[in-house]
Amino acid sequence: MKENPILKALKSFGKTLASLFTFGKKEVPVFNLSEEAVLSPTRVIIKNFKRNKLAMFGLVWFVLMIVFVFGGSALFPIDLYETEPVLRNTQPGTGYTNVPSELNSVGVETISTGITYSVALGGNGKVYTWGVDVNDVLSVPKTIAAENLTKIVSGDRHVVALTAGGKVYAWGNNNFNQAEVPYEISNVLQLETAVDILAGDQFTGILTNKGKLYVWGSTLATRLDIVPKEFQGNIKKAVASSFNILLLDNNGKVGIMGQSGTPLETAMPDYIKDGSVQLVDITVTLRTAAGIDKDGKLYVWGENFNELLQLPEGIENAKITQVTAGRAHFMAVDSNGKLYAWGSNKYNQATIPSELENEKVTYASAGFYQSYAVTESGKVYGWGNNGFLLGSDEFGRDLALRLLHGGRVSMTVGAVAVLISTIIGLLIGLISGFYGKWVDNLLMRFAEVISSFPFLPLAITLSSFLQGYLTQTQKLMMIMMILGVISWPGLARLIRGQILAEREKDFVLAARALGIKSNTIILRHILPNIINIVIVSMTLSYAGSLLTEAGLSFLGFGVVPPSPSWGNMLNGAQQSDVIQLYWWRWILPAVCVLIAALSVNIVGDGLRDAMDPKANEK
Amino acid sequence: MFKFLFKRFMSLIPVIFIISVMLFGLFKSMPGDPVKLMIPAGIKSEVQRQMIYDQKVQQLGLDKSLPEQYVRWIINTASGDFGTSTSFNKPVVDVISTPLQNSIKLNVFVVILSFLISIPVGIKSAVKRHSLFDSFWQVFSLVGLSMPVFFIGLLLIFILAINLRLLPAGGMPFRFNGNFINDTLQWAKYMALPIITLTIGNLAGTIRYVRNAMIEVISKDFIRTARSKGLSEKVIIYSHAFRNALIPVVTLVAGSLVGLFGGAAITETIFAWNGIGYVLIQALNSRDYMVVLTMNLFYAVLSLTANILMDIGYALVDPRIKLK
Repeated sequence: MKENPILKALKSFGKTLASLFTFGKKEVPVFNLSEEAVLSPTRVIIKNFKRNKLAMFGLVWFVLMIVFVFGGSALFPIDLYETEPVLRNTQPGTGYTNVPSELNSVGVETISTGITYSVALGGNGKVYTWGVDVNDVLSVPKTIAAENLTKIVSGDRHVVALTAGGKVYAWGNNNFNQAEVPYEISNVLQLETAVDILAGDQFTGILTNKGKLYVWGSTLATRLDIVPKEFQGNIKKAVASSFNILLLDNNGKVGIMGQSGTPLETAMPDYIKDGSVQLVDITVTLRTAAGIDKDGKLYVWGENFNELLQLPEGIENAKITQVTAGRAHFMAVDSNGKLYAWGSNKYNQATIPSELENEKVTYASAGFYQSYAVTESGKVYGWGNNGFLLGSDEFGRDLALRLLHGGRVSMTVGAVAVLISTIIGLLIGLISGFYGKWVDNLLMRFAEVISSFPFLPLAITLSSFLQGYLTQTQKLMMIMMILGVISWPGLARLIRGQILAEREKDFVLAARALGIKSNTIILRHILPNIINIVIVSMTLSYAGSLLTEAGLSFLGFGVVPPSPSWGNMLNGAQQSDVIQLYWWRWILPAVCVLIAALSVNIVGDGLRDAMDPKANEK
Repeated sequence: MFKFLFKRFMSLIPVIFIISVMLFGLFKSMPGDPVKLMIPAGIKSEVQRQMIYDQKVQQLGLDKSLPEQYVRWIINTASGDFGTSTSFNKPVVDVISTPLQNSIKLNVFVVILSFLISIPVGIKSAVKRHSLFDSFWQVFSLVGLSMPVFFIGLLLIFILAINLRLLPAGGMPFRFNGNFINDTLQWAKYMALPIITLTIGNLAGTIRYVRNAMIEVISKDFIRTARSKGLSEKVIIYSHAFRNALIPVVTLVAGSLVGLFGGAAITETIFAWNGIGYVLIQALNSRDYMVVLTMNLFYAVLSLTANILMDIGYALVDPRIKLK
């Protein structure tokens, strides 16, 4: 049976390719003298390549990278549209929930949580901090060691502490002056005494003994500094979310201040608004609130985001003694010491550790995406968001995860682009080299036209114009196409030159004399002789293609967000504050591109050296 | 020689024709209507808007048939009229000229520096193969080839501009007072980082190129002959070997000419250098078709010219090649 020549050529191509990447195969022992004569050119290349330690290292490195990137992104799926703005630009580090062991023995007064850290007031009056630092919030001012603290609370990036004498200390992020008591409020404090403190996203508030609330910090957009008149002077408790503060007055009535029209306000039941159900404690997530009345009955209202309004089983009959809220989850403790948690479980913050099942919980604290519980024996458990190994980006997305998925995109885009350009270049080079005459002339003129445009400006121009109304996947395909379609002329010329050289060799003449068709001669006799060069060229241009993709995406003309790629993750580095403050956001993706391209280049160099006949001379 | 040049230029004509048709076709099929963007925003009346629109269309000749538009464009371009930029509202030549000068200023230094460094380094690497010197530059060029250019730029900004505060992180010099020394210093301060970035990027490739060319030549028989004649190593390397290694280097010099005028979009963006690459990106972002069209044509003609220069250069360094 006659075999299809294309299929056969593909087979031999596949074999060559496979043989290039199979190493460690058992070698048949041959006598030294006959060795050279026995080996085919491809095997000589493999032998030479394997002898090159650096090249082998590069190959292993590259394969490991592929496994890591593709395996990793398959194991950890990504939600492209999910953001956590409050966790933006957190520096690399984990251990957000690693409670210091000393706290187990001294007892816990309160625990309060910021975005990447937590603070606790121990039973001995000492302040404990753990987690990853942000805005120097972990360096507690020395002056407060001598004070008798009664409460400590944490905002997103600042901490506020209250002494028994009503003195307020604050430290950490101070860009809206939230970490220092303003002059007019310190004047007020000479007449009134602060009895409670609260801290939210870039704002701080104090509650005085006259039932008055004063708020400062970032209040311009949310109007959080305006306290409703009917509540001012009668406030018992105030709790802070991002844009609102929930107030509880002495009559058990609940009020709201800050941004108007949020579900906290619109979905508040009338029996809570008018005080017919008298609440004794309230807490609030971003847009959902919870409260308990004096009988321990739990009420929740607001937005049903992350199923925050779906209460866990068994909680309706329990007598709740404490309720606490993170950014998107609630925790409650009942009179039997049973702990309940519900809401968002993205960081496992609503998954109660199994060790706590048979323990009696006396105190629970939730904040942002972390959860803490203290048992009767004084042991403190922490769980939830334990940190970002490689930090987070400007939208609070995990950089490590995006690097994995960005690597998958970058490496795929580069590979497909090279494949496209190789196929076009191979075809055009083969045709023009073998047929010559006007076909050659025409194709080479065409190649000249394409290559007369500088690569990057042409790629940028095409990408910018074609990007109009494409979907995310189409945009990705388009980048691959552009990169592939404009980068083939070099390879086509190389192959044409090789064919011109091979065409004159005796074995082609012999094949012709045997009456073999020219198609078959090209595919079966000439192609196998130049395939090695094609592979080296592919390898080296793959490295180039990785860099081009990174450059294009860096400028915003390549892979477009939200799809991550190593290039577009660097996009933020066009702002100097990112370069200066958030080094992990540009160094890490760039290093990824660097090591990927480096390993490919090393392999390509190794292959080229291995193919160099001079390398075989001893 | 002149006959060759004439023939070579004649062969360019079909290529330039195809390029211009392709570019024209590409830009005509682009989404968006640049004329709409040219209508002043203050005019609210629909009738008035339509009137201005028609007027502009007529003024730009967009109401004519496509072949006619193409011919007009080619004639205008050939006579030096590249049209009007829609976003800057002035002739394209005026939009491009200053950035072009800025790019050339930058790139002249880059090209000179990278050849000044890479040729001696490449030769020495080739002569002392596998020495420490060679290994260092081999690793340097391998890493340099694998390093995205913007990463070099960002690292330099991070270290030299932000942490050490030695140089400005970007922008153009502006504090001129007419004093020559002061003005030169201003330029030097702002040009230093882009020049270093581009030079490092260039060096990686050129050093390898020169080294490989030299290694190729050094292994030839005539070098052995020269050695056996007892010539000094200096004469062998610089007069016998390097002259023969020049051919690939000429390719490199001709190629870098395109870069000289072409600008570097990425580096110029990082350093906010008002060069030609930076302008291209701005023009693309504001859909300023005439600027983009002119610049692409300019690039194409430039690289075709570089090809011819390359051919002449070959003939100059290698007497065996005749310009036929």
